[in-house]
Amino acid sequence: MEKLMEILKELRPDVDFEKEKSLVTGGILDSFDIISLVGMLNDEYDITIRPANLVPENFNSAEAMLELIEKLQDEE
Amino acid sequence: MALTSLPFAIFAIITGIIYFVYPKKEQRWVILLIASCFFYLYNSFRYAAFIVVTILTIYFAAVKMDDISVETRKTVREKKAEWSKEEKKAFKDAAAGRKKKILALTLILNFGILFLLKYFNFMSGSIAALVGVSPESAPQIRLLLPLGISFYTFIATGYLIDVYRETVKPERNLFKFALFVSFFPQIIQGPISQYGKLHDQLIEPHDLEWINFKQGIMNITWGLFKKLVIADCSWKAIKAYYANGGINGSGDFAGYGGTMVLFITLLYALQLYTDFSGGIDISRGICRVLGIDLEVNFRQPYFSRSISEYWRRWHISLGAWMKNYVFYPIAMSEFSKRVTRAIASSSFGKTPVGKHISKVFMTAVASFIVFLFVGIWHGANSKYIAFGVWNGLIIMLSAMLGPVYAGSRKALHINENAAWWKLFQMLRTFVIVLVGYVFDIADNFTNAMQMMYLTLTDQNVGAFLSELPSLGMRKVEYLAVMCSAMLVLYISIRLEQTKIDTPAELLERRSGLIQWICLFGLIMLILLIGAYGPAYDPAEFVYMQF
Repeated sequence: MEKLMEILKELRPDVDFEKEKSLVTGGILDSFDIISLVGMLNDEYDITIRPANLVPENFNSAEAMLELIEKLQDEE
Repeated sequence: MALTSLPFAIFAIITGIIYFVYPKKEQRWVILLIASCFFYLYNSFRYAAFIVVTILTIYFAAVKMDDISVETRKTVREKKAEWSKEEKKAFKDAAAGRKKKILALTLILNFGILFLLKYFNFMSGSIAALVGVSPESAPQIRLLLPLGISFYTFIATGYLIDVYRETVKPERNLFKFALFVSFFPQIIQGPISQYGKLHDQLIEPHDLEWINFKQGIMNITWGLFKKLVIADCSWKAIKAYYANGGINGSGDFAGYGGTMVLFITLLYALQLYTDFSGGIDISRGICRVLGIDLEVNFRQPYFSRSISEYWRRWHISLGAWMKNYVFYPIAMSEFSKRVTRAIASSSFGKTPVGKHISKVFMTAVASFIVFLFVGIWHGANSKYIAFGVWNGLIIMLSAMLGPVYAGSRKALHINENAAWWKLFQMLRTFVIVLVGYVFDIADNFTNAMQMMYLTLTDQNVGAFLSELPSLGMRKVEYLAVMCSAMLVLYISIRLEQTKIDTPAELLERRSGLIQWICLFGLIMLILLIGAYGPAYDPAEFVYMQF
């Protein structure tokens, strides 16, 4: 979780990722942020996030992102 | 049968009554399917074959893709012990390849139909002009467009891609799927509903509930008010301006001055918004009565503080479709990754500017392509391509120059939360939107440039006032449109402040008496000043031929 928090802070220092639970549906992260984030997560965790994974439920909170990362790591 | 016509009202009421009294609840969706078929055949009988082709090809493609996925998973499970990791991967890849082929063929067929019907004449004329043959002698397809072809093609292909991505399970009942594609409130002008959000609601039975009925009727009335009072009255003036030769491609604008050109552009912004969003309010209102929640398609778009925000608030479902099925696939493609890596590893990519550019370059390119598509989606004309390029360029540049803007805001000590700054951003965005609209209004690209030049160089209020009567509207009509626009503005501000989606929900907080007064007040306004009735030739919804 710490590594993910670091990545998120680097992406958007202005957002409180620990509290925020509607990052996508609330319009806090836009599609440009999502694409940057996907690139960072792919590199950092050696996974391949696909367009199919880009549903709001997977990116609305840091926990949801971690779940997605773990799921994709299992699949690899 | 326009959404605001009496026959449509009768049709919708009969559909509603039969839907709610039909005793076998679990079969109520069949009523909606029959109504949708009737509506489609009544309006577009000659071209109904096209929607049938779309329904059939996408239905069978989706089912086949799902069969392959299920079969593949089953086989891999069975052979878990026997197969090596490589063998499993090879088997899965082969299955994925077959799915991809089915997806590609079905998409090519469906977009091919759309392309042929909508763009063939434009392309063939342009190619003829390029090779030096007169465009008139180029081959042309003489067809009107099938009703809602852009909408149902996008709705159905979005579903197919979702099935391919395995984010939804396919509908295996052909008739239920046919209802999703042809559902009558959304076929005319959207929204481009997502399967996951709409389909189950269509199939589930709903009972008539007072709250749904009341809010639905309120939304329909609000939509009728926007459409009949504001949009259609404004359309009369815009039409007169066209008829007088105000936009004739010759560049002289029939003697109209720059203030008039600006006025027409502003009136067009008002007309387009009230027409399109009013139509959506009617569709959503009908669905609300039926207990179905149709997607929100507009969220006070003119209050946007940037163009990218505007496209998240205007025709939201089109923006969402483009994001999911065009933007993400391009921005996340192997090619984009390679370009990003190449920039990042170059000596330029090591500089602070290069670092930023390497991050946003392909995302910016992807959004530019999206807006090129949005432009083309609006019609086969160079001016729509210019409209797309304009929006795409602005978004691309604002992404690339993001740090420059942030730096200058800091240097100028601008407080980003200050009210004046937000207002300035709104106005700036609105001006950019208006420039886009000029491309819409003009005959062609050159004409649009002339309009903008005239607006900038020839402002004369006196001349404008003397030109105004030529638009054929009476003073009282201008007053009515203006007051109604103020009411829409007020409601929009309230919706913005309360983060509520519809005026009906806003009114829910008031007493019953006030609700009734508002409803009857609106109905009276529509009856008194709305443009309707057999003597009046109603403007078709702007988006109806899309």
